[in-house]
Amino acid sequence: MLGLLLGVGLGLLAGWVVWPAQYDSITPELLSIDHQTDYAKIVAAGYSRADDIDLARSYLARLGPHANNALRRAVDDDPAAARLLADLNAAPAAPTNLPVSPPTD
Amino acid sequence: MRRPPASLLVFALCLALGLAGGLVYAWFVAPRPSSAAPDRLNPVDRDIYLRLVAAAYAADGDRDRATARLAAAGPDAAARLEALLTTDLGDGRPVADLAHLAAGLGLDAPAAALLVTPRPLPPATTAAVTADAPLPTLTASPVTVVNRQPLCPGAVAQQLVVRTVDEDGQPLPGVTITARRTDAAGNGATSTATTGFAAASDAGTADFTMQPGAIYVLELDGQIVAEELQLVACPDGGQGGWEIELQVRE
Repeated sequence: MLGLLLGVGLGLLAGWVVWPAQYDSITPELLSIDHQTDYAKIVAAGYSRADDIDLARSYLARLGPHANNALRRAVDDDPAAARLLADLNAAPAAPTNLPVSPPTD
Repeated sequence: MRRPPASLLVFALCLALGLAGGLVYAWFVAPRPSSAAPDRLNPVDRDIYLRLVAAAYAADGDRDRATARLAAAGPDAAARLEALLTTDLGDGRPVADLAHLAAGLGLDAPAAALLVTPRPLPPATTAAVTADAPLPTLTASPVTVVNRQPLCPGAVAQQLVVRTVDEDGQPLPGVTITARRTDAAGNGATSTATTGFAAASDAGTADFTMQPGAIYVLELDGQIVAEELQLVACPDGGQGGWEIELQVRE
């Protein structure tokens, strides 16, 4: 039992501190929280120009399950993001994995 | 040769199992929060990111923010941007946003320099006024609106199409037009487009997609050339945009 606990402790130390997980060749959903938010702002800015809701939705979907929260964080200081969120909520449902539910983080 | 006691073997086995379990948990189940920047994106998503940055810059014109975003995409982002520009040019895709970003940030991108040629307007002339001199006449503006009409051609109706011509009536490519938009809620946004990149139009044309309820102001080199532009009702019951023709004197 002592060996098991010691092993788990050493494994956690190694995995979190000594050799933490590396993020290379990632998709946008693995960006840092701040960069996910900025990604959503970029999509919103592009949407303010092109007005293509489906294109904006497809770009946001690249944030995976974080899309909803990233866009809601972006809304705080970005009118373009607020408009995109409103338009996404108003737009007819499309085959996308972008939720528009209340934020969870 | 003495064999290690069984308890030591069990301890070592448990230690190894615990170590493996701890590593799996720390790497795959609950890894440390990502601090990854866009420079860690895979090539496909990085290209998408650069295109989005270009579109955002075209929309908001925020140079500092575009510079920061490009820096976050890695030290070779500028080179990648130019490669995208070249590829899109070869494929016949619209390159206005990429070219505008490359030119706006002063990147060393020959293709952008060729595509976006600054066309400074001549400065306004001033005349000295003396007591005996006649009142000065107004200096002619370097930009004249020669035509302004609703655009109701169906599929491309909700467009703000700007045509620029020179004094001989020839299309002028490379002229940057700014459209400032204020929506019904009072939110403002700015878009820029460079003549010569509009689909299916001549080299002097730039276009913008108009939004319902928004009011547009057109500027050329900081000079307002048209105001109060918004979608108009067309005879077919739909909404139409505007076509503005500008004559630019050099």
